[in-house]
This record gives sequence, C-alpha cells and structure tokens, in this order.
Amino acid sequence: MSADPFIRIQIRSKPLVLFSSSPPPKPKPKPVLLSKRALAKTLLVDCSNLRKRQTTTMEDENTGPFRRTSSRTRKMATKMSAALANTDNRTQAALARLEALESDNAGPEVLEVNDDEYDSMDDDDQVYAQKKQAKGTKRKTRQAKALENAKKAPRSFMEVLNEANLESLPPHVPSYLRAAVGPPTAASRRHFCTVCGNIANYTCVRCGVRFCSCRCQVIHNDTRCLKFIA
Amino acid sequence: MGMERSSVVVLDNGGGILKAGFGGETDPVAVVPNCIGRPPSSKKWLVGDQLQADDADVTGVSLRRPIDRGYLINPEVQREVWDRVFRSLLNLEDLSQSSLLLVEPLFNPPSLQRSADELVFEEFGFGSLCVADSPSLVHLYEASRAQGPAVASLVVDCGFSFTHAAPVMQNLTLNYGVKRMDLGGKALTNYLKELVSYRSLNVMDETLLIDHAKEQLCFVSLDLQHDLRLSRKSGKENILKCTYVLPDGVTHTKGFVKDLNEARRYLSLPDGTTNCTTDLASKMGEMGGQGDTDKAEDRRKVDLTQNEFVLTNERFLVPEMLFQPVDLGMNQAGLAECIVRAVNSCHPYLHPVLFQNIILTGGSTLFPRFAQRLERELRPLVLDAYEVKITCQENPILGVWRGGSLLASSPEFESMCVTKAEYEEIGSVRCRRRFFH
Repeated sequence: MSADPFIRIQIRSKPLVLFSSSPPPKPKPKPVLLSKRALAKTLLVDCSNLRKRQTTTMEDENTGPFRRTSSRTRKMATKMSAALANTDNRTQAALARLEALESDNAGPEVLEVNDDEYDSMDDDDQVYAQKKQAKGTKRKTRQAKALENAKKAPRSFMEVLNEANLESLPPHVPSYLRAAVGPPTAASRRHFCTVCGNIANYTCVRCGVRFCSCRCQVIHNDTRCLKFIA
Repeated sequence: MGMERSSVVVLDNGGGILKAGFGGETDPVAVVPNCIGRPPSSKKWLVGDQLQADDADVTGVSLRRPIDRGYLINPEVQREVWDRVFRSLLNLEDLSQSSLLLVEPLFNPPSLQRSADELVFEEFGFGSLCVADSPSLVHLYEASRAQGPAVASLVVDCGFSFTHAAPVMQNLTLNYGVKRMDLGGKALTNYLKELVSYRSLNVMDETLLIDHAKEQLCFVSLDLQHDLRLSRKSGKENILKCTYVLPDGVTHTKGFVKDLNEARRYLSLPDGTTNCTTDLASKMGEMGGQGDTDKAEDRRKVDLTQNEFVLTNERFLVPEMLFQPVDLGMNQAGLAECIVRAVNSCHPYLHPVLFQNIILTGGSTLFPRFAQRLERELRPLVLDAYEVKITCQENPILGVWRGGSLLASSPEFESMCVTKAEYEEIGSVRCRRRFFH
C-alpha cells in the first residue's frame, strides 16, 4: 500500500457512483465478507474492472476516440481497497473453509459466566441473557472486556510462531517454516461436486461452487446457493 | 505386590491420543484422548478417558485441546489431563521418585519448550526428564525387531495434527531433511464433518462421533475414477454405500455402523486394474446380499427419525485428501511428493537406503489399503534403480510409545536425563541443548 491514505483508482465505466468519497459506514480491520447486499452486487458486476486498475499509476487514459472514459480519479479508503484487492468473496469463502479444517469446535463457545443459570438455551437466548446480565452488573467498557478476553484466551500456535521469529535464523538451520513441504509440482486439481461428490465440470454462476450435472445444480440452487455470501 | 515397576514414566503427548505407561512394558497403561470436553447439558468438564466411558453422552460435546497444530500451547488444560492420567490411571503418588520420558514434536519453539519444562518440574515435580522425538523412537523400535542392522530409515508419521516424513540415521533424526504436511487426522475428521453436514445431517459439533465413523468406514481408493463410477450406481449395485447411526441417548449412547457386512462389501473390489462387473455381482451375491429382500429394503430406506446418514463416496474422498491436498484448494504437495522431497534433501548415498526402509506410523495410516496406494503413487517418482519398500508398523498408534519404552529400559537412559536440580540451577534453555533438537 502506498503511503498516502487514499489510493487513486480510475474507474473506467459509465460514471456510476460506486463508492462515495466519504469513508464507508463500518470500516472493518481485515477483509471479511462484506455484508451489504448492494455492495456485493456491485462487486460482482464491476470486480473485473477494478482488478485491472489496482495500480496507482494512471494508465490507459486515452485508448481511442470512441471509448468514453471518465478521467475523474476517485479516492478510496485503503481498507476498502484492501478488501477488494486481496480476494473476492469466493476465494475468501474458500480460505475460510480451509481454516475451519484446523478448528476444534465448530460453533461459538459459550462463555463460562452464564453457565450457572442458562444451561440449555439457544444462541439467541443466551445473547439476550448476556445483555441482561451486563446491565445488572457494573458495565465494563468494550476495551476492558476485550483486554480481559485477550488475557484469558490462550495464545494460538500462530502467535507463538510469529514470536519465535524464525526468519532471522541463518539458512542452514532447519526450522519449522523450512520443514514445510511446499507447493506441489503439478498444480492441477480435480474438482468435486459439492452436492454428490463426483467429478464436477461445471461451476455455479452466482457463487462459484462446482456441480456435476443438472440435477445437482437444481438441488444447489434450491438449498444452498449464496447462503453464505449474500 | 510382587512386580517391581521401573520408575520411568513414558509419555507420548499426542495431539489426538495421549499414551502413558511405564518404561520396559510392551503396552501403555493409559491410551486416552488428549482433551477435555463438556457436554452441553452439564457444567462439569470430562477429562481424557471419561469421554470414552460407556455412559458418557458424547453428542454435542465441546472440546478443548491443549495441543494446537501439534504443539503444546495450553499448559492449563494439559495439566488437567496429566493430573487425571498420573493420579487416577497410573496410580502414581510420589512423582519425585520417577523420571519422565516425554515425546515432543519436532521443531518445538523455545518458548513452548520452556513452558513444558515448567509443567513437568514445577507443577508435577518429576525427578528427572528426558525429551525425545517420535521418528527416532520409531526407528529404534523397528530396528530392534528387524533381522539385519537398519542403519537408516524414513519414518512417515501421519498423526493427528500433521504428517512428517523424517529421515533417521542411527537413532538421530536428520532434521534438515524433515518435511511436514499440515494435514492430519483432525483435518480429515473436519473434512468428513463438512461433507456430511452439506449432504445430510448437520454434524459439525460431533467431533468424537465422526472420528469413530471415519475410523470404521473410510478407506483409501486405488482408482478414484472407478470408485466414483461405482458410487453413482443406485440400490444394491452400489457396494460402497453404508449407513452410520448416531446415538439418541435413549437406546444407544454410542454411534455405530448400521450393518458391518454392508460396510465391508467394498473389500471384494479387485485392485482397480480391471473393470469386471460380472465378478463383482457374483461376489456380492455371496457376501452382502443376505437373501431376504425385505431386509434389503429396510436397509436402503434411510430412517430420518433415527438420526442416521449414508456415506458413499465420502468414504474414500476423505483419505484422498492426504494424497492430493490440491483437490481441497490447499497449496501443498501430497504424501508421495513429501516423501520424495524429504529423501532428496539428504546425501545422495542415503537415497537408496531410505527408499528401502520406509516405515509408516501414526493413526491415520490405519485406513485400509493405505500402503498399497502409497506405493502406487511413490513408484513413478523414484528412480528405477532404487527399490521401494514400505513397512507398516503392527500397531501404528502405540508404535512411538513402544520405542520410548525400549529407550527407557536401556542402560544409558539415566545418563541422558536432566534432573530437577540441574534444571533449577542452569535453567531450561541449557538443559534442552543436551537433547540435540
């Protein structure tokens, strides 16, 4: 990312106001799945354009007399562009899937504080109960709560790994990072249908998962297309 | 009481299963899951083997593991498990008289080594400690059982958190040649959970049950296309289909496979080289048919009230992940290539020796036909002049522990340990230097 807080991007299209120059209402620190439906739709429409224009230089300003381009440069917050530039929703979903392979518990863990009174309740009820309890006891600020949670939670292995600072070792010393077997020589992969598991040749247009036949496509569209995306 | 037990406690601190016992014996006393779990309806945390008890309700248990990605990062949880193992299962009262042989993973970061040392010496108060790593122990055990002298071997350890291919020479692991895949039993179970949740019931919380289903039902396919075509067939011709019943708390407390004969029908498959459907039909008539058509009808209907799910191609797609992680989207080489890269990073004179002595260990190698498939994948990648010979350990889960037991009963063990007094005097870092890794 460049030093200035805004990345200037030339948007070559009809002057749609895609992004207002004011920062978005909820800037998130890391690129997570964007929840705003409109934004997601415009992403899908204009992603291909944007991906070509990630550089900060102004290239392709004049490509012929018939092409009407808007040479107005639009400013965009770095966080937004980070969210867009890095991955789109499909690859983010794929990465989240891979990370979930390493997790111990699938769902959110229940806090121990509420165990005494609320033993078997759904997640929604428990959130409500937590809120009620918070009002009764002394209100902690969000920062204090976050600090407490950070202290209580044990460090994950990735944090320990970063602390160990293995890159600074000389190259002849074997370490955890160097022991990792790298990317494969043949990077071609087989795709499996998400509905039935056979070899899948076709992709869903909306969400990008694979299916093998029309029957599986119908099932996919009925039950789970875009369930986690939009 | 007659039998004098040696005072060495051998502890294999695995990510999935913890094996503990006394040095010099053939089998460990305690083989328990290395985690604590809390059923959703109670407040009490069940530790280790309490989760395996017959009356434990394992549905929806939320687990907490002390080991993340193979390394011990949560000493508090580990202390609970060790407490239970040492006091209740091994019946050890006074730990200061015993020494501990701890098996740790390779490339343990110094901060974790320090916290493990603290746990051993300051919380439990062992008399002395010796740390070993799993490939050298496996090599020691296999060398003692083999006829000729085994100078070097390549130990492939497919464990819970990851898979290592480690060359070992004369009881010393060559750690510049170790290659690691970040896939293990945990990832396989999670993948199976994802597949089942996508296609039938939502089982994302049932780690222990799906673990059991994976161990009973999954196998490695030798010819993926052929098996996929088989799994597409319907009805009785589909010999790969089988059902797993989840416990409902009333009639059964543990999950089980609905019909074991049905689950074993795939064994009649030839080795995938020929496509003989007529042979299969005749064999099926012998094994899984069981005569009655009524029974077959019942079996085919999935009883949704009984909380069961059907597995067809997930049975072989899950272990397939170890051989080709690219299929999942992970940018990692498969097991065969991992082995080749590990061997290639050693001296060229060692290559033929290593390929001749490949030892498979670790729980994830227990899938049927694992060795066959690995040899089939490995043979094209190795020079023709070298011979490829793969040996499976007879008990891959206990293999490392048995090697530790052998080491503990050897006469030089006492000189390899670090006593508590030395630890308190010179500290953890310098003590660790004695252990060569």
